[in-house]
Amino acid sequence: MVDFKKLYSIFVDEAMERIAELEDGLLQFEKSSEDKELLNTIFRAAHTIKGSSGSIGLKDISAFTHHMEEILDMVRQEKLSPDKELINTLLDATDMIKEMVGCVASETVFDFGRCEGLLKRMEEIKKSPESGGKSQEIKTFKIIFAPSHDLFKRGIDPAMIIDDLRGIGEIVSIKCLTEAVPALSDMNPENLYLRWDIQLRTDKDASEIKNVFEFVEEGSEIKIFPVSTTGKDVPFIGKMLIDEGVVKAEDVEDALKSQKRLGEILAEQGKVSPVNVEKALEKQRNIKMDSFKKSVSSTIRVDLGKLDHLINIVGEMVIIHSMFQQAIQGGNWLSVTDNGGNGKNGSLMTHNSAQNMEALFSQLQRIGKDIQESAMSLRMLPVGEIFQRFIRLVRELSASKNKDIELIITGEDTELDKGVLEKIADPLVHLIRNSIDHGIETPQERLNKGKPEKGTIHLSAYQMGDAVYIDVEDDGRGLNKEKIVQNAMSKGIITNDQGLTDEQICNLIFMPGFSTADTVTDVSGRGVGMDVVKKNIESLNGKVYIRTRQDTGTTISIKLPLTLAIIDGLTVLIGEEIFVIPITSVVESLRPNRMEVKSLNEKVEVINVRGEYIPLMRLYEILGITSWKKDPWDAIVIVTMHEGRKYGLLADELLGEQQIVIKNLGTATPKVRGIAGGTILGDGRVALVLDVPGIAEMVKKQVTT
Amino acid sequence: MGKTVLIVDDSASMRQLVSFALRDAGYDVIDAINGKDAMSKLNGTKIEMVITDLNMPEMDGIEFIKQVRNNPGYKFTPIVMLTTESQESKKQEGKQAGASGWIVKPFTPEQLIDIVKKFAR
Repeated sequence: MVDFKKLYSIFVDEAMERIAELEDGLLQFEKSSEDKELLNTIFRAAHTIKGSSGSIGLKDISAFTHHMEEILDMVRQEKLSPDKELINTLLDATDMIKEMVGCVASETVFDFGRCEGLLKRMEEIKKSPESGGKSQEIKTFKIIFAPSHDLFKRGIDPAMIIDDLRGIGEIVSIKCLTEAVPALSDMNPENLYLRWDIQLRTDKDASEIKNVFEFVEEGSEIKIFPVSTTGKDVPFIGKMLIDEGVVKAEDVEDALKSQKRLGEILAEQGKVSPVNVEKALEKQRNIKMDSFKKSVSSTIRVDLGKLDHLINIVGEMVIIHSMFQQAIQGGNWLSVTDNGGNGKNGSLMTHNSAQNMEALFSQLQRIGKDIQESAMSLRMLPVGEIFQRFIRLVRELSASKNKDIELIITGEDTELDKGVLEKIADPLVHLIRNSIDHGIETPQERLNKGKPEKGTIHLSAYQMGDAVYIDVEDDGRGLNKEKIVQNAMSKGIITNDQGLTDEQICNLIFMPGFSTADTVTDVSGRGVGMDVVKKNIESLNGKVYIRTRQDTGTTISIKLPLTLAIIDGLTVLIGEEIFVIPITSVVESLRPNRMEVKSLNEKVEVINVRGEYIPLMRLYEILGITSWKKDPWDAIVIVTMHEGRKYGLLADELLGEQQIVIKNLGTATPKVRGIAGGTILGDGRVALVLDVPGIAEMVKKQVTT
Repeated sequence: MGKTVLIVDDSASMRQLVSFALRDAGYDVIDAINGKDAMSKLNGTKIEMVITDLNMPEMDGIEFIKQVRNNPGYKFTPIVMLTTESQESKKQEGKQAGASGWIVKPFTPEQLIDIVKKFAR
């Protein structure tokens, strides 16, 4: 027998990619079920998994996937209509395959007995008769038409579309949405800012409606979905019964309302205790979370353009290298200069050696910088890699909370360092859960407030300056400042609310031990709270900001550095040693005069900086090294900021500012207090990078004890 | 007076077919044999709509569409391309250049009239 094991890792990599395609595809397909190309992509993904697993001897995975493939094929041939039950089943099946592949990766045995339920469900779906599809019944469709801004410039009049729609059915209602129209000063009169919300009654199906939009599709947002008469998601069996006229739609809805969850039924019958059900649910959620986390792999896919660019510059470097050699050997060398493309490609020039070297050196410097930038860019991944996963999360969590929430994603092309990206997923899950659970109100509450029934979470990423921002914005109830203050006081986090600014109040939710939810709920509010989110983000050198307005919504903005590895540092000298302080935490540097330095007691010294007293830390004491300048008025104080407080660090001399690449100290050295890592300076010397938050903690302890 | 449509195609038979169908439907038709010819005929004339082939000598359809769009007088004039099934990438190029729509060759006179009615409102 052939040993397939060697092929397993290749299979796992490929299968994980296909699984992601399947999942994304199915979620999108649910929204745009007329997209044939998308359906083909989904089908191909399933087909590939089936084929590759079969060919390396994983027969069970192959057989399981075969069922999915069959269902998808039937959908393709319009023998089945993709309703919610079908999509749900296929999504569950995708999860199952993910676990199977996970077992292949970890070389553990997967219990295929677990698939039985799903296999049965898939069988059921395959048996169900052709439903809906091409029937000639008259249906109502809701059409959202948001044309691209440049429609006029492409010679197209949007009224043409509306006329065409009139040609295939009856327009029940038409609303012109003007939200996107900018202020007069920002308006380009040649742009089209209007959007339309149209209800169309027609015997045509969605694909025929879509044809109307053929010429305007590109750059426009077009959503077509049937408006069901019952208005709610009805399980398949219910839909069939209604279609056949056996029961009324209202009866089915009533029945659905009285339907209970399995856990509740078992608990009522006394078979299990509610606590056990809760535990099992928790476990189930954790399993889901785990499969979520695994979605970022340890390999990286690099854009071919980036790789080509890197190879290109490396090639340039090789040329410079040989030019150096020539310059060293001969003294005379050839220089190719661009003469402005007048036919002469270059001219022959002679220089003396020193000049040559200098010119070459500056070129080498430039290329070195290019290579560095280019190599770093290889680590950059689009945030879309993790954003896509949240669609599923929001879909499931909002359903479990009986809320109708739409996740809008923008800026998924924004790139982040892979290391940052991996660590940002967890905090984002937490923030999104919070929005779903606490932020967005129930549909009824929303209607009472005059808001749209459907809540929105807007997840966006964008780059500004040298940082990337990720915003989680919801249109929910906003933070309740009174409640926060009350809660913080009852938990003993603050003693009174005197002099607290709104911003400071909001930031209270980041304190350890804070949780505003009145009751512990399924989704969030289990004690581990925003403090963990903040800690995680700060460990990435990031920051968290909150903007909130009562009844309007909350935006949590995460600011992240472009990359973890390279930082701007301030180099200082203490005794014989050079240290680096990350410039992000430096406020200023100064030399105090004798009068401005005061000691509170033996341990604690402060300096007066323009009327503000800040604690002074003598770095040579903390680091246990000798310094030449023990008096602050001879030395230099670098004022740093951590969590809104200033700390003065005493060093001998300020050397300058430079970009450094932080290296881990490695596992051989024990963790040193106050040191974040090491780096190699331009002249080849090694310097340690100071950990300002760590030092600040030490100061806090000294001041309080 | 009827609406005026400009047809640009290097093939005489295609020009004739389009002109015939459109005149029959009550439109005035101007024809040109390539982009360059069309630009000269366009100058100042009031035109409701342009139909253009893509592969033509002297000035091809894409360049022609770009030039029409750059001319303030015809910034918003509908332009429909004549394409073949195999010209997907050309179609994209044309859309980028500012074309409003397309008709896939071969087409029937009815299909042509439908599209023209749609755009030349």
